[in-house]
Amino acid sequence: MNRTDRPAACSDFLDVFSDFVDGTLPPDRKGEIHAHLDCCEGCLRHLAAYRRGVMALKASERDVDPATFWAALERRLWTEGNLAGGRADDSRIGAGWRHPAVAVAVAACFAVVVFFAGMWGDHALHDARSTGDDRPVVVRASAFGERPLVVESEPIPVATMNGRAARAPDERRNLPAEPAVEPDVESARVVRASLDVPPAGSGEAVGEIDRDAEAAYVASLERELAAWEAIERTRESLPRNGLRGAWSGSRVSDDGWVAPVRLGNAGVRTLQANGPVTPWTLEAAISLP
Amino acid sequence: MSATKVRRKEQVDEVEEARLTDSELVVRFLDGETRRFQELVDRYERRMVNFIQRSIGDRQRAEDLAQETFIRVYRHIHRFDTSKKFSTWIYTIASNLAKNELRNRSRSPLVLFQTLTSSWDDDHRPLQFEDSSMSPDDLFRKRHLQDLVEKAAEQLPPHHREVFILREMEGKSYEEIAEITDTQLGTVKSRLNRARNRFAEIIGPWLE
Repeated sequence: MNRTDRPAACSDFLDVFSDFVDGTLPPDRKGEIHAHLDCCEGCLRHLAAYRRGVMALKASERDVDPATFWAALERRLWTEGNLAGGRADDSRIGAGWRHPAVAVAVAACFAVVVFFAGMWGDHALHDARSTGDDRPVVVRASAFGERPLVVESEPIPVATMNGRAARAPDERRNLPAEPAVEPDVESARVVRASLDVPPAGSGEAVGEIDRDAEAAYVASLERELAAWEAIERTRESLPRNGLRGAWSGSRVSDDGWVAPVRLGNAGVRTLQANGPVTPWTLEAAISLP
Repeated sequence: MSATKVRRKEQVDEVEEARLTDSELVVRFLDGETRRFQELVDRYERRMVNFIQRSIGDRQRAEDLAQETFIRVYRHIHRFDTSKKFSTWIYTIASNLAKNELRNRSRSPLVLFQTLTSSWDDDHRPLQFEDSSMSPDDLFRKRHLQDLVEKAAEQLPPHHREVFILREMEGKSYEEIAEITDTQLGTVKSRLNRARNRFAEIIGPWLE
């Protein structure tokens, strides 16, 4: 029953429903409401439904695995540099990184990442060639403090969704520069690989969706997924010498919009593309234990 | 140190940890006790994930945003006024992130991609055990009811849902809700009354 269907006494009850539930009504008002509930089955059901619903909602609260949550958070704090510098004395975080053997391992990991990034780059370029578009795409792999490595310039596909073109790749030339710092393997804690994903079919859906464009957009996501999987394979290739790193990733659009991608030890589980209309760069950071 | 002494020290630490207020943990963290940050995370991770999940309706994204909340806490903790409530501060951050998420979604299409890679073996999946004391029928009804109430909460307008969750699920006072949502006390009260009535109206027929 809706409020408008109810008699005046019921409307009064609904007006103070929140206060009644909280138990903050003055005693005399509370007495009036109780008297009304004694004779109004509809309001009594309303109250009972509310209480039962809230109880069920509270019961549906799910636990979080503290170890997994902290591990992922710690990784992100490391990746984003929040735990650098003065926090190195924390025994829980990053102990042992200054050991020369670990530094060597980091360098080895970087080599593996670049190798796989190159392999994926070839795949992406192969796809791009098939479109016949003559605009350039940059596939790059980079590491701390090193300039992006331009592998090749090739055409990329640009699709439209509802007539709105994805941003032309020419506009991507002003990608944020890598930080101009010298690689410091002594303090390096992550290896970073960046892959530019061609913005095939990215766009904004307004009103009716152009199904072809939508398919192209989904196809671009599939290719992105393939890129993440390549990074995951890279991580899997690392357990030699007792190293098996975890990794986290982000999609960074060229206007600075950053979307973390949920990854981790379980591999690529869910890739949520929250519809950026601009091209984006994939960044994965592999941190070693 | 003997094992007994170590255990006793751990017990003392646990008791001390439980005694410390959030603000005291912040102060100790700023004084260089870095492990205090994890204690803050331990206290709030479950609440943050569930609060954000109920605001945006997506568990995995909620976990990402809960982590983002803690990253922001970490970055700006030196600016936190310890005379104020830490919980209000962290809920404000989480609330703003949830609002941004909903705003971004409304601006652009949401595409969810789910895949299991070959590397995702069963060993990596968190195990969840059912309550063995419940019969399958009870279990089904319980799950069904939980689905229904979650759907009912999702049907509330976002600004009504937010105050409803903060009040009913998080147990916040009206004043705290006003601060977290950056709204007037009167607005909080009216939104909460509408949200509660609407929730009962939605859920009522489903329970009959």
